[in-house]
Amino acid sequence: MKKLLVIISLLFLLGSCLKEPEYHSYTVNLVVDFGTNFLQDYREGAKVTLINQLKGYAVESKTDKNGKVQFSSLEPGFYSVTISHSVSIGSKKHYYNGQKNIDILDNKTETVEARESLFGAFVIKEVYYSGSTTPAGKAYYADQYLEIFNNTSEIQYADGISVLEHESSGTGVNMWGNIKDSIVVKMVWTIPGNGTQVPVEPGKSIVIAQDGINHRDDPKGNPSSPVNLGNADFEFYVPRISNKDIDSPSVPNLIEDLFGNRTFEVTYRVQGGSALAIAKIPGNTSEERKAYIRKNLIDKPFVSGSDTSYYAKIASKYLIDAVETVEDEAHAIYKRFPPELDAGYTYVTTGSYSGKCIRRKVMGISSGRVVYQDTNNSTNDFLKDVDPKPKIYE
Amino acid sequence: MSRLIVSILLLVIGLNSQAVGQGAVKSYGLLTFRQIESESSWLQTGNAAGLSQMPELFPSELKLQFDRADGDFHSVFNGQTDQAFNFSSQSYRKISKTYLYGSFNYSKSSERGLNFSNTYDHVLNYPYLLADTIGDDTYDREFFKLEGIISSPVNSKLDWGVSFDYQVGVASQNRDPRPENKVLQTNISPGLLFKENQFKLGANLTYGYYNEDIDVSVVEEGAQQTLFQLHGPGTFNYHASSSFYRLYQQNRFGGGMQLEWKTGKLSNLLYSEYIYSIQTIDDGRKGNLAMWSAVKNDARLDGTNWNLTDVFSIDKGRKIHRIKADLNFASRLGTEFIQRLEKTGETDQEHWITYAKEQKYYSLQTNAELNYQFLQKDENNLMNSLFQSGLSYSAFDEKYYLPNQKLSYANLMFESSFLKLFALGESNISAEMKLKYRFNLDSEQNLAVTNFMVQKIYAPEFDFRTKNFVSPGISIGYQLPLKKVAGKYFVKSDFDWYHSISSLNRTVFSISTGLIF
Repeated sequence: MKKLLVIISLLFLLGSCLKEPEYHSYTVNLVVDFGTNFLQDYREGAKVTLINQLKGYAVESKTDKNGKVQFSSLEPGFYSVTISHSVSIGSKKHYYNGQKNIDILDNKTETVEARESLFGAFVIKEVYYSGSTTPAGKAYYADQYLEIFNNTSEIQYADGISVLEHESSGTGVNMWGNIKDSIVVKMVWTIPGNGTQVPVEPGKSIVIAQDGINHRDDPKGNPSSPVNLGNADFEFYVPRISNKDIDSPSVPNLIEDLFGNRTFEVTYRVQGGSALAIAKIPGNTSEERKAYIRKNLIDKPFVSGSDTSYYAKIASKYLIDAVETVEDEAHAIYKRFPPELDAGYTYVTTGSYSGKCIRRKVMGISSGRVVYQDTNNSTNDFLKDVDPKPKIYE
Repeated sequence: MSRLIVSILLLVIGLNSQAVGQGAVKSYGLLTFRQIESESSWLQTGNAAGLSQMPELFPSELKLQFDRADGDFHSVFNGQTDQAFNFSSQSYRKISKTYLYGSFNYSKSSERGLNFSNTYDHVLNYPYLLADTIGDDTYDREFFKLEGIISSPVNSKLDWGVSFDYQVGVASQNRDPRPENKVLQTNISPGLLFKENQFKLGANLTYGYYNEDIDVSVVEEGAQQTLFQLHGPGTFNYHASSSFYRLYQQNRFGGGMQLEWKTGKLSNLLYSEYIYSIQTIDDGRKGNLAMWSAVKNDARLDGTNWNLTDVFSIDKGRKIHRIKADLNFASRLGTEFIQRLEKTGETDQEHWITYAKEQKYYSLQTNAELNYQFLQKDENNLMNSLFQSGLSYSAFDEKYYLPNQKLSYANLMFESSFLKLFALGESNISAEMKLKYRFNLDSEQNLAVTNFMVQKIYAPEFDFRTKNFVSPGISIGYQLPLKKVAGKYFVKSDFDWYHSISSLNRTVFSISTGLIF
């Protein structure tokens, strides 16, 4: 009997421990397509980044002379690929960006397009969308703002520049993804002027506030807000009978050219998800711009089917700069802007009401003027979770 | 039968003062429960039918206890201090030919200075832990536990038995993010014991269930906190939200066999037990919202525990020598679910769609232990001294694949203690000296990724598990016979001090008082 127990025990010993994991490891070959006019000699050295969207980590490599790169030993999952490349031809530097989401559930070969990025004199320097918390613990988001910076060595004029927000909030698939060379926006708000009335000095900026008040001191504000926007250059104001939006007497209002859903005030998504752009839409007056918008209206039925919302299709060629914010890494699968506008995405990792913002990285100082990095890839170009500092350049 | 049921209920709350059988004439004291544990190897086997092999001692105890641990030398998943109040009762009884054991325990504890754990028991849920990185938390816990064993003869050669335990409780953290953990743990194990001449053969089955439901909330209005779902050394997902739900469920199945041979003063008990466990870890979230309308499968953990133990005894009446050799293997295999939230069907409802299940984590814990015990009894057959000394070897090997992370170590532990009961008039004093020394034999960290979580959690935890330490301890007890009550009043205090080679220390202190009768 004892012998039997020993034999049984030995059998248990052999079979008791679980076997080591049988895991999958994949190899992905990526070919970067720079377009037909791109010179063969410049294909080498493009930075290719694979970001695991579930776990948030990234692996990087560079293309060979054929524009190819291989990633091996990848765990299965959902990844986003971003391409970032710069080429100096003569005295001019050209930037190329590309982005694509790929599911790696097998060995595969993929082609990723990279296109030359569009550049403008103005860049979006800072976006504060997360909002803050009051001393009583209440949510506060009237202190949101967007800052536009003159990144050149010459005076630029901001009047006629519009602030746009993509129709999708990045929480689901972008239903306009099949529209080429255009983005679909839910709002167009424009800086007033005839084209020479709002000069912006080199290395300076203008701040566009949700509400242009000193949020720390104003009775309607929040003592815990990180910003004073009483000196903002412009503000959004939505005139309605309910008059819920604050109209600061000292801060001029933007012109409302389109505000699709027309809520009582303009707000960015505090969780992240607003894809913002600045553009110069055809037309020197609001009427002319509205005429352009009317020609490019696009409808979207309500989910219930009871009504239809109208948004505007804006051609990418009119866009000056764009930055796409997302909620978190997992929501990057719902990316909306094409790579030539913004090949990446960014967000405040500390979440809503954290009082933190995203800010463009400083590339260098030129003749005492700050020059911000602009590779048209917000993943690379923006700092996350920084304190809001409107009109401070660092 | 009704008398039996009433007795079981009284047993559980330790209030059965009318002892039946031989136990009634004994005068039990501070060391009686320890004597039963030390003298009866069958009680360690997990076979409830083996309760009938216990010595003829049937004490009851009511006890209040306070425990406090304080110091830097602790797991990264534990707090700086942990203090607990316990009320417990336990009792052994024999009614006719039926042996019974029952216990009840209520504990309320507070753990302070906790940094990284949002789970009730980090050992049970490792590696799939839920953690936030807001430090210096306080975790309050309140638990009830009931335990019972019954063993009775079917005939002169066969005994049957069954054991059960049931524990419920809640735990909660005092600052955002605030997890509230509802925990249920239960085990049941029926067994048989066959006796033939100098042989005894036993077999038992066991089933266990564990359920931990975590509801994390953020009280601060509009605020979100980031919660990390750990997957192994340095690998994790994270999710920022104002709420979060997580559910751990574990089912355990297994059984054991026992064989005892006894002739004259010599006996040998060989036993083995095998447990297979399946644990699922699910999150209730839909997009950025916490809700159970969409279940995200995070992981599944398969586990095996197998042990082989041999206990050789020489029983010279009032002197018992015992040598115990024990071998234990525990392996864990972790599988992750690769899922994406997608709108499906005609109604565009969002569901987490599974694209792959990947085996990513493996660990193997090996323990081997050799222990010698010398127990001496007085003329009433009650223990008055106990010497124990043992050497144990433990090795842990942990791997995560892609990115490849490997942690392994092996430790040697020496433990010795001597317990003696002294008479002081009608009273008694018990004194015990203890010594532990852990020596690290080998350790290796081979990490492809060293991120925040590795630096804050896995590296310090590895350091804690591999650090050499010495721990002297002392335990003093005093018992006084009560004239008007058939029992003894006692006060007992334990003090252990851990000192690691890096000069980190921890003191563990406990004091208890109660009645034994």
